[in-house]
This record gives sequence, structure tokens and C-alpha cells, in this order.
Amino acid sequence: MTAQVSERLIYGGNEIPLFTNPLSLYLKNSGTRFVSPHTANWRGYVGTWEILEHKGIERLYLVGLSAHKSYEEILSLSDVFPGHDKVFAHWFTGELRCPQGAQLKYRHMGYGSVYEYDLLMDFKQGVLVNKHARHNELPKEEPVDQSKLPAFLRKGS
Amino acid sequence: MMDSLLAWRPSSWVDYLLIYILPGAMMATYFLLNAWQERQSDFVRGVTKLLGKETSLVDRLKEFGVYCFAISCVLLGWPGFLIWLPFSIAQDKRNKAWQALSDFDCAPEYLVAKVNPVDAEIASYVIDPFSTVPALPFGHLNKGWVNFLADMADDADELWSFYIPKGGKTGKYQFETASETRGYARVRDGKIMAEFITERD
Repeated sequence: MTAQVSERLIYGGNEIPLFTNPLSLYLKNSGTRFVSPHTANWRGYVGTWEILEHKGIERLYLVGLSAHKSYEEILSLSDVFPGHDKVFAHWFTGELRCPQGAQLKYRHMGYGSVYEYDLLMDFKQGVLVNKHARHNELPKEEPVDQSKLPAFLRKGS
Repeated sequence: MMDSLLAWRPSSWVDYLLIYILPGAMMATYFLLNAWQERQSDFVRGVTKLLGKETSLVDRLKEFGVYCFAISCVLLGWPGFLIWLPFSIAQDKRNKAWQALSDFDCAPEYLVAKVNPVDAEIASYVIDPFSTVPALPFGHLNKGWVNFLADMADDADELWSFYIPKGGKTGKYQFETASETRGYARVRDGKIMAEFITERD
């Protein structure tokens, strides 16, 4: 599986990559599906999110969307959510992961690559309740014993 | 011809051997038919060829040898296979039934309380200072809720709220959840028939 193109998060005036898909529950509930334009975007869309503050409470909003209805036809936020220029992600409870700094390890799969830091933000029903940073280290990987692999996975077979 | 066939009696050890291997021959035919049905498709053969892993003549000869050995085993040791075959068929049936099961996050152990749909709706309205959420039950998830309720047609159906803690095991594959999950389930006779997830990561 190819590494996937990230979502985007506008936070503190900066746009940073977001390795979480907060839109997935909405899409599941509404039965909405998009078409994958290429192997680096199996979900078929890229959302732009923003954390907006009101009276000391920070909430997660979807403020932009580029979603493939077909390979050629791309839908915007107002196509998927008619009459809205932003959408409060009230269904999202969980952690947003924003990679920061240099890439320590590339993984050819999903959001598996490892970066220097992860900015982790916990949300409860779309409201930011906690945030912290995690320092990552280069993952130690044990050498692969070629003799224990099936023949079709061995290098040079 | 039928009369002569019925009148035939084994007279030598070869005749007895032929009678003995007859069930084995039928069994071997069954296995060969199964193997033929599960043969590689043209697509898989094409991909294999593209990857440079085309089957060589030696591979084919080896495969032929394996088949000959396997058929010999079945012909001579068919009573053993006869004992194993019903277990294998039953296991296949169980696997197919498991594959056909619905894959819900909610399981009976995560049910919290039986609720009234109206009460669930009253508690579901979303407060948003920027007014980006429609004033409908469950806000942007309203369409999913409406579809979920529309399927509650049976009198035996009950609406239950559920809560899955972070790390709870869910679904057929028992994956651990990465976040808390809440929602409603349609329950009939203690069995989960459908679910509507209201919050998750």
C-alpha cells in the first residue's frame, strides 16, 4: 500500500499535515463514497481542517474539501455540505496526529512514516480537550532473516 | 450388460484391489475437481508472468509428481480421508457463515441502556457558535439517523445506547478501537441488528 496523502490542518495560522481522517465517520453514516484518483489517495478526498476558538473553547471545523466524485469531477465543501462554508466536526472524538519536523523513517503504507515530533490533539465531540507533543525516535528494526521468509518474499528470488 | 456386471464376482487380488480403490477414485475425482475450480485465473497468471515468476517445466513436473503422490494416497488411504472429509466440509461451512456475519463495532457487552428514540433525539442537538450545524437531531449525521430509524420496523426491535471504551475490541476481527465510541444499536432478542455511531475518531 502506498503512503497516503495527508489531510491538512490550519492551526495557529499555519497549515500543517494531518495524519488522521476525521471525516470518515460522517462519510460512513451518510453512505457517501468518493473515487480514488491514484494509489496515494485511496479515500478519494483531501480535507482542510481548522481549529477555531470561541469564548475559550476550540472546535474542529472542516473548512475545505477536494473530493473526487469521479476521476475528472472534483467536489468542493459546498457540494458535499450544501449551504455551508465550514462544518463543525461534532462527530469526532479521538486524537488528531500532526507530524512535525524531519521525516525519520519513510513507510510505504498509509500514515506510517515517522517524523521527529507528533503534535497530538484530543477531541471530545469536536471540542479540543487536550494537546501535547510526542518526540519520536528512529524505530529500531531487527534485521530480517531471509531464510525464514517464504521463497517469493526473498530478495533476488 | 447390466446383468453381466451384477453377476461379476471378484476372483483375484487385482479384482479386490479395484473394488477397494473405487471409493478412493471417486474421492480423488472430487478433490481434483475442487483443485480445478480453484486454479489460478488468467489475471493471476498474467501478473505472475509479468513479475517474472512464470511456472517452468521443472515446476510443472514437480506439481505433476505431487498430484500423482496425492492421488495414490487417496486411492489407498481413502478410509482415513473419509473420516477427515466431513470435518473439512463442516469447517468450510462455518467459515462461510462467519464471513456472511454482519460486522458491527457494537457488541452486546457494550450496550448501556434501552432508550426511547425521541429522548435520543432531544439529547442529540449540537451547539455550535458559528451555526455550521443544521438544527436537526444528530446534526450533520441526521441522514444516517433517519435511515437507521427507518429500518426499525419489527415490533421486537429495541433501541439501545452503547459505549465502547478506548481499546475495546470490536467487529468480527476484534480490532482495538483507537478512541471512545458512542452510538445507538438496534437490538432484537439480544442480538445486534444495526448500529448508528454518533462519535468516534
